[in-house]
Amino acid sequence: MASRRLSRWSRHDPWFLMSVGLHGLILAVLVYLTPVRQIVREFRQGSHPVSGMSARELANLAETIEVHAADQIASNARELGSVLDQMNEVQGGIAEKFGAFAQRQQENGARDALQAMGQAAEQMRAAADSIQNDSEPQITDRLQALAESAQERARRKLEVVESGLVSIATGQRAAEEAHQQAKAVHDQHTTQMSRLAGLERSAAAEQARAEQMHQQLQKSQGAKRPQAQIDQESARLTAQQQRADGATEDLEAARQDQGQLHSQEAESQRVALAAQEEVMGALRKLMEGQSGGASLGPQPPTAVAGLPEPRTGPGGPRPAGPEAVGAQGTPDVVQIYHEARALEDGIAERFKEVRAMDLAMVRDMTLEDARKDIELIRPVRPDLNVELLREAARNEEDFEAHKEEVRTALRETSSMVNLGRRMLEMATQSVAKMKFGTNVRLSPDEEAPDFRLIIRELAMEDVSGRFSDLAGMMEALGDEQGGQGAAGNRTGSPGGGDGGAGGRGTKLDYQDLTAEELGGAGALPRFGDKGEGEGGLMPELRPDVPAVGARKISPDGRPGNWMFVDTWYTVGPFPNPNRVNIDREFPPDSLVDLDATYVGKDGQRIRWRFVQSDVPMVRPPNAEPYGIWYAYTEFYCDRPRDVIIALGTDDRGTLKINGLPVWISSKQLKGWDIDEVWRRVHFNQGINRILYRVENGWQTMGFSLVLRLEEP
Amino acid sequence: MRVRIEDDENVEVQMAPLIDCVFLLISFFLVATTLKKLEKELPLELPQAAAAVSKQVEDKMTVVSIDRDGNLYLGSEPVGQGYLGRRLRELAGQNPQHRVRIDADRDAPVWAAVQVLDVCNFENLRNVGIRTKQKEG
Repeated sequence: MASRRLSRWSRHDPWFLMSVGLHGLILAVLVYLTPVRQIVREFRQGSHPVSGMSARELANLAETIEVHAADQIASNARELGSVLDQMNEVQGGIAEKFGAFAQRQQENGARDALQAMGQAAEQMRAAADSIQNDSEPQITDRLQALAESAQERARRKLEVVESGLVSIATGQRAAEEAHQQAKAVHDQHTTQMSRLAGLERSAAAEQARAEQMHQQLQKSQGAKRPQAQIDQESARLTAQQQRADGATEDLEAARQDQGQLHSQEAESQRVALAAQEEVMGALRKLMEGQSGGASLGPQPPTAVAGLPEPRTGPGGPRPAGPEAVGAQGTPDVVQIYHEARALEDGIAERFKEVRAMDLAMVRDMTLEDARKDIELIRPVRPDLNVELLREAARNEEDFEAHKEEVRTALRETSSMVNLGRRMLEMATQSVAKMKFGTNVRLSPDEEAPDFRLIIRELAMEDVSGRFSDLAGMMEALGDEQGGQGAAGNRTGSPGGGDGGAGGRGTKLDYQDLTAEELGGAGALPRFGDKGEGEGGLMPELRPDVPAVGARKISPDGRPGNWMFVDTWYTVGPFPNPNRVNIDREFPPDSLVDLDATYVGKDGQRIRWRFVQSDVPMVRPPNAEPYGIWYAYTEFYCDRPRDVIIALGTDDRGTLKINGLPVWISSKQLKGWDIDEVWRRVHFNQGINRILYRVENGWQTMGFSLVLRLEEP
Repeated sequence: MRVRIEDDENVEVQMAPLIDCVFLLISFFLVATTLKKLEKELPLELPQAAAAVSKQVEDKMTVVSIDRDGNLYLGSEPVGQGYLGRRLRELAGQNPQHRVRIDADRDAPVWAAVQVLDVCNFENLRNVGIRTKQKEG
């Protein structure tokens, strides 16, 4: 019956057939267009979509993927080439100016050294007077540190022209040694004074106790107490009196020692001063003897001659595109990748050169020495598996590995481009900041002061002590850079270089969190009774202070008087055998790249790690003895602010805010304290970049950054 | 005697094919949506939560994944912490209400999830969720 009906419909109802056909067609088209096939295959074949493909199909697919990726990798390589060109321009432009600057430095080296020696002698004389007048030891400490700093400057100036001034340089080193001896004796004297104070307290206490016992004995005798009791008290009094006499004798002996040490201290400081003056005299005489003739001993311009010529690209011609780097008509990912790495190295070399010039100017040293103190930024990049990429994929495993290698090449070259651009940006900023005059101290009337040099001195604990006010300088530098069009981050918007200290976004919204504490225009904040040290310059801060852990200041935040920065990225350890690298700048000093992997101490691969702490002292998760760590964070301010901060590290530490040094601790290894130093600093509106460098000696390590938010 | 059966000669519009087509179109969109979801996912073993609710994947949502070793992924692409921070800053600059979903493996280190949450918070991205698997039974 049914077959008869179907036969009848097929004979007489063409609509039915057409409907069936159309349904079939639409279904086929939809199945073809939709990813149903893929999903079905995924269900059937698990997570291996290529399963079931023939070797030829796999090889073709792998090649297609490689060709597609090679285009993008070649594009990245071209971008790196373009960055290298721009970097060459930046370096080439600055090299000429720096060459002239270095030449001037050589010509004026002797004069500059003499001036620095004069400053050292002045501070040493003041230190000798301070010792003579029995001033506070801290005053002598600071004067001696200033003298030491000036001596170091003089030595560096002499190094520039040392070929003509060997005897002077030797004399200067002897003067420095004499000053170091004077400092050592001063330290001994300070220690002796502390001991003496302790002995005085002890002797006074013993004497008071003896006096008390004597009165007690008299009272007992007056009250006609039993003879046995009186004898016992008398014996105790005798013993106590002996103890008091002993303490007094110790005190006297200590006083004598202290007197001798004081004489030695004054004498050694005078000797050091005499040595410094002698060297000054010799240098002056030498200069006078040669006045009118050629300038003293300028060497051939070695500092400039050492500059490498900008090249088109290291290791050969730059890839002009996939056609240029391809082999046998097909793009070669391995070759492009290698050339991209070479280009990245070229950019890093030029960046290092610009950084070295910057460092040479800031630290007042030769370019050669500066180069030695800067490490090339060269993140660890994986090597590609050449055999895998150059041979056809024959099975699924090969195909997946091949795909992963291509992916790695693409990812790494993108990362290289990103790093290269940031290096270019930083180099441009560094060049914009450079001043090619002479030292700020030497020519204050001739040109605007170099705030970076002043900030560096203010940051040095040895020079500026436990408290220094950098806010004005930081703000001025921000304004100066703003005028030069430096690409600082002013509003907290994305981007901006790590070292860019941006200008103030808007003056109207500016808030000085320390304004109430200022005694008057240009005065430092005072905390009066609430403060401690040097007339209440610093507020009181206990290690267990209730502080809010955060890294943002905004009106909707939690209220609190104190705040500590609780979130950091740390990287380390970098090698520091026998503390040889305490002045060496590792890559994070130049540029913070949170994605980078570096080769650290003992060849271990180190990368940035996220750390969050619920107490002010932050410890890197992989802390170990002997090494150098970096800690980086970004701090947000809703508007420009001047803030007082407390800093502490275990052991030696330096802190930079927006690329500017805020604290450079003394070179001694030491323990942590929450308020080792205080600084008044300026934070820009928006994102502020903070970088700690901590050198660890023996045992544990850590660092802290606490901000004072309360109004006094 | 032969009986002549009248053919259904009346021509009328057939609704069945139309319904079929509509049905197929609906199937197409459902399948396409499912595929998009697959593209954004890594093979992670998600933690379970009794209070988990089922939500569709949003077009403009950013998925940050964390594997059991603490490695970070944007969608299914491995990324570094610096790149992730920059990307989230860009997104926050465009739209602070941008939705971010964190897919963390149940064995992923807690600090990695804290890190992503902290970066989102720092960049003022508040529309952040953590993906979990609905508890069975």
